[in-house]
Amino acid sequence: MEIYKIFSFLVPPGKHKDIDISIPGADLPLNGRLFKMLADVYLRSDKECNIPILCSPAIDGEQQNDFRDELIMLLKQKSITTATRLAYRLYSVTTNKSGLGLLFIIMGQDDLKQKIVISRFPAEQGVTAEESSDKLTVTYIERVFMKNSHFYKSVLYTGSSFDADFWDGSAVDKQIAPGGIKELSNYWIEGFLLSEFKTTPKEGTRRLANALKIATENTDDINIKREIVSAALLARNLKDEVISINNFCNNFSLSESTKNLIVKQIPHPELLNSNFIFDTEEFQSIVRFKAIELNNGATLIAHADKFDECFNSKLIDAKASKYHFETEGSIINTEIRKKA
Amino acid sequence: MDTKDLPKLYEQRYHDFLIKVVPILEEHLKERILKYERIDKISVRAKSKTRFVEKAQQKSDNELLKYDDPMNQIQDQIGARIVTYYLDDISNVCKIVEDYYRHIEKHQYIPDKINEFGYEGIHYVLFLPEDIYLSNNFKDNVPKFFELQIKTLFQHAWSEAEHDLGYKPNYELSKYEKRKIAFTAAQAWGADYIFNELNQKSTLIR
Repeated sequence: MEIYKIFSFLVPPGKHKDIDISIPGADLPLNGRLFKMLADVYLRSDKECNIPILCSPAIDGEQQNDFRDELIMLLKQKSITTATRLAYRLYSVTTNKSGLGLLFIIMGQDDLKQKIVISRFPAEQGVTAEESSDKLTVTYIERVFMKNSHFYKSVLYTGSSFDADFWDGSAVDKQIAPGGIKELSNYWIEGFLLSEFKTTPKEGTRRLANALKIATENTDDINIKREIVSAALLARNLKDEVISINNFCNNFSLSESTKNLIVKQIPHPELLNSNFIFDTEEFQSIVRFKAIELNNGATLIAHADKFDECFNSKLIDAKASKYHFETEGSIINTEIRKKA
Repeated sequence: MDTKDLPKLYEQRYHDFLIKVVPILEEHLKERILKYERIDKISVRAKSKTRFVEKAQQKSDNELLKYDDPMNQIQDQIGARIVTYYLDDISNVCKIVEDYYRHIEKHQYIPDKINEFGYEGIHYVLFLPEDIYLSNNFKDNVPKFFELQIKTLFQHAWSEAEHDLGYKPNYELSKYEKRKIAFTAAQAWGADYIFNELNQKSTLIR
């Protein structure tokens, strides 16, 4: 889709401040090195923006969202005046911690669809060195943007109908530090875009948990089973963390074969990157492993529903909480792991 | 779009996509909502061509067509309904719905005036879950949203009968007949409150 308009604004922090400031904007030329860099951002957005988000309804339940209204107004009027409204919106949610930012609004279109990419590049500090014939001038500057042109927040919307489309989009934060997705969610997604992850905490957790459950049921490979059981037991520590199925597999360093088996249970590949807030209760209602560790060094693990079928237990010393466990079955795998 | 093409366009969408999505969405809803016990029925339907065309031709007060792009604007092309036993069940079911589905609209329908009786129910416009698309082709040809109505048994029974009687072609209800229908709405409202109170009492005793 060919780019037909790029607007840019310098947006200072303005959260909890008066909105009565001037945010000048520019209608950028569609050529030159800056255009080339922004055209790359625009092109990459189809793959790069991979966190599905959805505009929230108004507080009273009406089908209305202020950000979406401003976005649609901009798509209809394509003017710097309407684009400025988005700049003011960003100003009103930007904290001193997020600091000064350069906002780009890149608009493109083909016969059928409109595409709009909104990106924010943070201001950084830098040093310039200017050399003349007899001296070198070194200056500290505060407003350096795009020192690293792969360091920004972005969101992508495409659509052809102002009625049905532009409710959902895809976001990304290239600035993000490991574990910092919550910050993206609070500032960029909830604050600026008035949106939320497309996948609810319970739905995302349910999808993940069912994939793990079915994967363990569908494999005879004891290593895969063991990896999933270990990850599932550790997953309770993910309470309220923002994750995706891909994150889950990577964070627990699951092997390729285990990951492939989990991925196979997901109907569409794009759901693998769909972020959601992990819901421990939902997870444990679907994937339930019971593990008991004894003071003699043994660990007994089984599906929670089948634990009592797998192990007969008898209390032999109530005072010392001492139990006798019994189990019977054929050995299908034995493994001795060396100490690291 | 030429309005003459609309019936054909919708019919194609209906047969190629909507009716194929319906059973998958119904299963999706049942898997999540039926963990709540006092549900009478969960059903999903694709809007028939006749109903769609009728709706597409509706006019606003200014006599202009209400929808200038009905294929995109009419959001109940896929409609779902959950019927609960008692009034208290409605808020519990809403909570489950909001736990698993994202909505862009939630509206509680109640009569405008305190001394009026009529249609009641909760309507959501929900985002179609992405798990249900059979292919990317479906994603491009199925509306992004579906409508979900949540009602009690009595609200549902009343609205079905009222819809059947109230929208008969070539027959307009008299004022007295409309009053009779309002009376049945009052009875349904009363029945809901009495059953709800009895259920609350029996739950406390249990």
